[in-house]
Amino acid sequence: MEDILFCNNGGCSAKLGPKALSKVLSKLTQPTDPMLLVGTESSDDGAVYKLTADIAIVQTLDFFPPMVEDPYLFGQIAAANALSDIYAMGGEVKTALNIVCFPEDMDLNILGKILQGGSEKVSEAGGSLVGGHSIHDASVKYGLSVTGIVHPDKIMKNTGAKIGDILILTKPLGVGIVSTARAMGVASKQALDLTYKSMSTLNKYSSDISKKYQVHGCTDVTGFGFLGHLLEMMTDNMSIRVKMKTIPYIPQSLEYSEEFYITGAAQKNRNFVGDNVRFKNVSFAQEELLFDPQTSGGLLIAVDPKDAPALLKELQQLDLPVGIVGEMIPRMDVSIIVEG
Amino acid sequence: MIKIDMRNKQCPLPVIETKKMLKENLNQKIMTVVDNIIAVENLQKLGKQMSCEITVNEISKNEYEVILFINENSNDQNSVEIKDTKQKNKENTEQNTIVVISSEMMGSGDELLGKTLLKGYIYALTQLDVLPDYILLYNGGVHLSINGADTLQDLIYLQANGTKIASCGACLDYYNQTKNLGVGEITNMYAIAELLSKATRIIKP
Repeated sequence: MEDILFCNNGGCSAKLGPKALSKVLSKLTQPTDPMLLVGTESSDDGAVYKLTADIAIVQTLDFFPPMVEDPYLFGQIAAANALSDIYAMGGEVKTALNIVCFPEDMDLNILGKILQGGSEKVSEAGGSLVGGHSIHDASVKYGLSVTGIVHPDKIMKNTGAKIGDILILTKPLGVGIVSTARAMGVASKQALDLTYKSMSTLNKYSSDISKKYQVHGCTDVTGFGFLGHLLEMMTDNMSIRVKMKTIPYIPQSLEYSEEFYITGAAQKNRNFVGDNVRFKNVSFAQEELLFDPQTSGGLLIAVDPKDAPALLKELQQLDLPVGIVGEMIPRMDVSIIVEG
Repeated sequence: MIKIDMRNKQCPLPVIETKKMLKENLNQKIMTVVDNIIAVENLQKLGKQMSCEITVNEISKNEYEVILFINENSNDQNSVEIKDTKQKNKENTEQNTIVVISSEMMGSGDELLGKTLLKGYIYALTQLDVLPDYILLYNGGVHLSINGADTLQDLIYLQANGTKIASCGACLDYYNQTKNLGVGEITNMYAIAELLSKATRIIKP
């Protein structure tokens, strides 16, 4: 079997920069259907359309070039990443369609492995893979279009957080940096093992647990990095106090960040967040970690402070690094303050 | 000057190669040619981390020259500037500013909101350029300086950065919290009266 066409800028770092994107999108006509509960006016992860008083559908899609060499693992990661948006909205997965770009002259067994990885993740999510669309293209790209359902009163919006809420992140940061270090041939096996495990893990499990608690807001951390997605959770009357010390991350990623195994996508994220963030006693390497684009990153959950310890404890049973990343406070001079 | 052409190279190659060149060629200017502004920004970050002098020339939209040079004198200049600012801050605080916290709430109204606001206020104090000289806590205010209080860490930070924290001893006793004091010293009414009399500014949030 020939090698999969490896792309240096795979995964979520292949995403267009948030700044450029919002400029283009703002020019489109906005939908006005009153049954559309979550559309384009917010930065939410999926669209939600109300069908009946009890059922709304959640729609999302995501696809990207490979960030790992193993096609089966790539399929798993791309699917876990696409399915994640449903969980970030508080929904459950029902059906999925494959999105495939594949070179005509490449070994079809590779495509088979990718689709196998993706299909297994859809099954694990409790959904049905019901078809798809493929085109031939110069480089490999794969992902899913996913439909899920959610109760219209239980939608997890990005911006539902309240002052006093505790924010919990359910996967470690740094998968972009480790992937970059890997492309340069310096990533350790230990770092890669945790990175692959994290990226291929469904956010279904942390979402299921969080539904038992008073959760006010939720998003998933992907291409725009921790701070980019955190900014999407903020409203005008609140700020967040982020504690660097308790943020979960892949241990080796900090070392790679110090050695400048960083991406252009992270710099785009830094430009997007701009002066909405203020750092205090935070090293350059730590800053880069917070801007690092994540492929299939964790859920960022805003939970009532009374429920935070119990939720954290239960999430820790899932066997991935998880931690309290901050607290919502009355509005300060900037949206995000990160303390070392 | 050493010139390296990093056009059409994926990130992080331009920064990794430039960093290597800087380390291997001390006292030499390194010019890196790149084809996009994001790569320029990443090289600027590298330059900043390595305390380099940085020059950027935009040749065209697709060509930029970034020249980095480790100037051994530049570090000293930076540290002099930092000293100057610290000196200024100190002069400003020669006045005696006292923050008085006399209840668990900021303002009157809803109790939960009042507590959240006061907690936010104490945190906001930690973010000021010039910290207050004293924080005096009495009556319900002493609940902020006891172990387990959600304001404790911020008060500890303020104390570590030069703010004196004093809680009313009689009040701690009244609330049965004397043993639980988590930060600062215990003070008495005479000392409180004296401090308030001498203060140039009293802040009561």
